[in-house]
Amino acid sequence: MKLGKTKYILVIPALALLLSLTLYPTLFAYFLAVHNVTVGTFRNPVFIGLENFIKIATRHDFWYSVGLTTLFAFVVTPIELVIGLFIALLLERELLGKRIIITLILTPLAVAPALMAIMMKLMFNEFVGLIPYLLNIFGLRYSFFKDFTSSFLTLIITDIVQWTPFVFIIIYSGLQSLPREPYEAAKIDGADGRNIFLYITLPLLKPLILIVAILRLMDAFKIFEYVHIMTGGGPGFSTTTTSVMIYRTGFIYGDFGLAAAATIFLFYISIIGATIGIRLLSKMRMI
Amino acid sequence: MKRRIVIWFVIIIMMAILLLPMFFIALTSFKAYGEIVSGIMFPSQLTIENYFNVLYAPGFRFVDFLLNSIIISSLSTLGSILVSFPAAYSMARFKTGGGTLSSYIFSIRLLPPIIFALPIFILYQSIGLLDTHIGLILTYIVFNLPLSILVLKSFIEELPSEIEEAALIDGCSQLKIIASIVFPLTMPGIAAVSILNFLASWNEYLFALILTFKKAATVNVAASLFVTAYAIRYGEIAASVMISMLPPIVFMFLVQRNLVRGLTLGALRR
Repeated sequence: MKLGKTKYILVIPALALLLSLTLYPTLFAYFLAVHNVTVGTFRNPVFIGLENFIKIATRHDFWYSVGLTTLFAFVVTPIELVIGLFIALLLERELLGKRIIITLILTPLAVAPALMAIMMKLMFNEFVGLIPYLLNIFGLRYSFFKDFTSSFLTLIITDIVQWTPFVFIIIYSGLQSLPREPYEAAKIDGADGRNIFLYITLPLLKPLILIVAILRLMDAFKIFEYVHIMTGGGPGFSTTTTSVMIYRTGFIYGDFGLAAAATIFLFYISIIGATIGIRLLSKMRMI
Repeated sequence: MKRRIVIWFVIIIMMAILLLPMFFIALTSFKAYGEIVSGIMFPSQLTIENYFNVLYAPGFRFVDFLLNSIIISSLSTLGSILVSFPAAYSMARFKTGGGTLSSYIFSIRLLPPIIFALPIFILYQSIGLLDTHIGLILTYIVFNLPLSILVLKSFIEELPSEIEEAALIDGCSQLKIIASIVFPLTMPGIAAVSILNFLASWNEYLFALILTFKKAATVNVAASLFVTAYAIRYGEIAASVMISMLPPIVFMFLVQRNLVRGLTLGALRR
């Protein structure tokens, strides 16, 4: 085919936009990070070398937030995978009104995470919330958001309620497109349901489960809305994730230089994660 | 029979848990202030005064924020399609950029958006795009591009290329082939991507929070400001959440089939 430059011209708009709002900012972050730039000294930044990087690298709270965010991602992802897979298997049969059930299950996906956070903040509110109200019926008195454990728990529950439907729909669609033959063969051989699941369904679903796991891990690592709105990073600093910490450093305390240095650290941490993820995905020819 | 009852029971429990927050917020939004503060969970009567207070709050133009969300989500969806479709076509048919370009584009989808927030904020400040519709629209176009390109690319790859080749032999120009053959055939994929983009833009929070203040703020930001501004006016907070949440939910109900298609195309490819 005679194409000449057409194929390049077609990708130029997309590439130009991507570069201007992703590559340029990443490079600009380096400039900010080696300067003392705050809201006050915004007009004439002072070069301070690696001071911001050293500050971040030696700050306990930065590494705490990275650890906490990682922990969060690795806690919610397996739970969502198990529940999502479970619901997908439950709906893998003829049921009355199945389409309505699926639509209802998918509803949380259409809700903005910020709004989900507000809803959950009210749900767990000790005066007007439904959860403390229900606990009270069983004679339990518990106020959430008072300590780390309960605050972290509410964040986990919120993530599960919002994103289990995502895991469900992808695994459910995957189940629909599995080949029929292995199942027929297993039936002829007299395999029972448990064995069919363990030795046929699960291996066939493995690549798909891995993809969902990677997407969920990376997305959970971005967590911002839930923390920002529900716990504000508290009590104290205990639930501050990396995104929230950078947001506060830059936009609440106004230290652009320090926030930029933290951004660069986060960039490399995420790049390592993303590279592993992309390697795994392209190995399976998924992108 | 017993098995069926157990299955139904489990399904209903699962659905109840997933929908509980929405049920609760709907209930709260129709409760009178007095009943909320006195800890009554199931009100004796329902009221719409909370909605009234939100929509006509003095100094808080909620309707304007609603309009902002509609404008920004629609235009960024349109822009994203216009930019991603040609790129996806080029990458699908001519392998432009190869695996490197695909990986680069996809890596943006995986990185935390906070990484880009601060530099974009300063960039926008220096070129006067802070708190403008166009500023937020541009940001959303860019951050919706990875998924759009990926989904459209895999969609186009599945289309047979014989028709395009035949048209080329008949002397059709490349641009005409794209506009009058490929584009219509890609329509289902474009529909799926549009829905995903619209939902993503409507529901986005971080950039809206950072890049807008008053003029171009979206409903999500407005609703979250209600939480701080109205501290204990839970009814109003719930009503503002309901108003912000309803359009995308209704939208999703209308186009569910396409949404599922988009979500699964984005995650799996055969």
